[in-house]
Amino acid sequence: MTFAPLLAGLGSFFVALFIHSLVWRIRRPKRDVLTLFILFCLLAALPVVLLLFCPYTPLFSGVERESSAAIEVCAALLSYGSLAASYIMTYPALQARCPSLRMVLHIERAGGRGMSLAEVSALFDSADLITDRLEDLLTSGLVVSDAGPVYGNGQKNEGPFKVTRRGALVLKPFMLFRTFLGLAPGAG
Amino acid sequence: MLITFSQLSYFAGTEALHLLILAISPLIILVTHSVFSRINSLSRTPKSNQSICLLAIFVTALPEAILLALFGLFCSVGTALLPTILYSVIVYLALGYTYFHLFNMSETARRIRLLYEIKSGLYDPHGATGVGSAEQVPLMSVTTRLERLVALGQIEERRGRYFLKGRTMLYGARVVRVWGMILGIDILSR
Repeated sequence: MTFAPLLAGLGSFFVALFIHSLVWRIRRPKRDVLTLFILFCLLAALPVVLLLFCPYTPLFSGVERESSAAIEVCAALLSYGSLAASYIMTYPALQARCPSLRMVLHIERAGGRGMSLAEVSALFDSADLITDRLEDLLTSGLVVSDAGPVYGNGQKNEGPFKVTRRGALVLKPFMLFRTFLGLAPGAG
Repeated sequence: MLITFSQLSYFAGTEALHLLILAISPLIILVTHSVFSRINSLSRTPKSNQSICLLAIFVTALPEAILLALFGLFCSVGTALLPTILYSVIVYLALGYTYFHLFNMSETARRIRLLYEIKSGLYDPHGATGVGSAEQVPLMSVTTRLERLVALGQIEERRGRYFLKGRTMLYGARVVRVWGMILGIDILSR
């Protein structure tokens, strides 16, 4: 293997990140996680294109290792795919302003004084931890409610909520995953 | 350096095998994780689920490293070794990181938790977001998260106050915060 697949994968990943940041700066999409996934999938051809322009790649440079060209293309796609997957998995933590990360940042700011449980809890409210996520589920069509959005006309929607078929499809792999690991579904 | 067609096929085959093992490494991690998780549940002093997941990821890296060593030993094209090692380390870490996040989602993601509770009929708007216990449930979530951070060695509790201990998550949080600012998302805003 040469450096070409790694460079093509890394290069494509950074190009994808750049395009993603440009789009988000202009206007953050409503279904942002889905849009991000589609964006990275659409740019999956980029590593192959970059590989063609990388010097010393078997696609260009010689008979000597020509037969491994297909392997280098696969390797470039795998490196791009693994980096894209790791970013797509990190993004929801950022989008949902992950409470654990916020706690660490606030505790660091407190320095030698530290923070009590009450001080840490005061950083969050119920909307932070539950209601916003419920709104996300309604917006992305994973949950439905006859009463519309979580907050509407100054009234809070208290359900009943129902998981859609798409919601059940999203949930199922997580339940199977936890069962396979011998952990109780919904625990944690 | 001229190499014969049979040598070429051998290298291509070895490389393909190497790529295949890298590509399926999340599945190997899953099996290792399942074994470790079951052993942990039998332990008298069980470790946090996240620690077990990280352990599974690092233990699974061993067969990958052995394969790389064999690859380097048998492959006479010495110059191919460095890019192969670099490639393997980066791809394996990215896949391991993805696996860890996927597992973490099943553990802590509020959306998944809510979906599960609504589907199972456990969701109670008054319990979770209602006025009656509006303070109780967020407090529970905060406590659970603080306990996890303590278990992971990122913070410590001394006389009822929490202090920073480890730096790994702090650096991660800083990177996420800076990247969030680039995207126009401030993770510290309420």
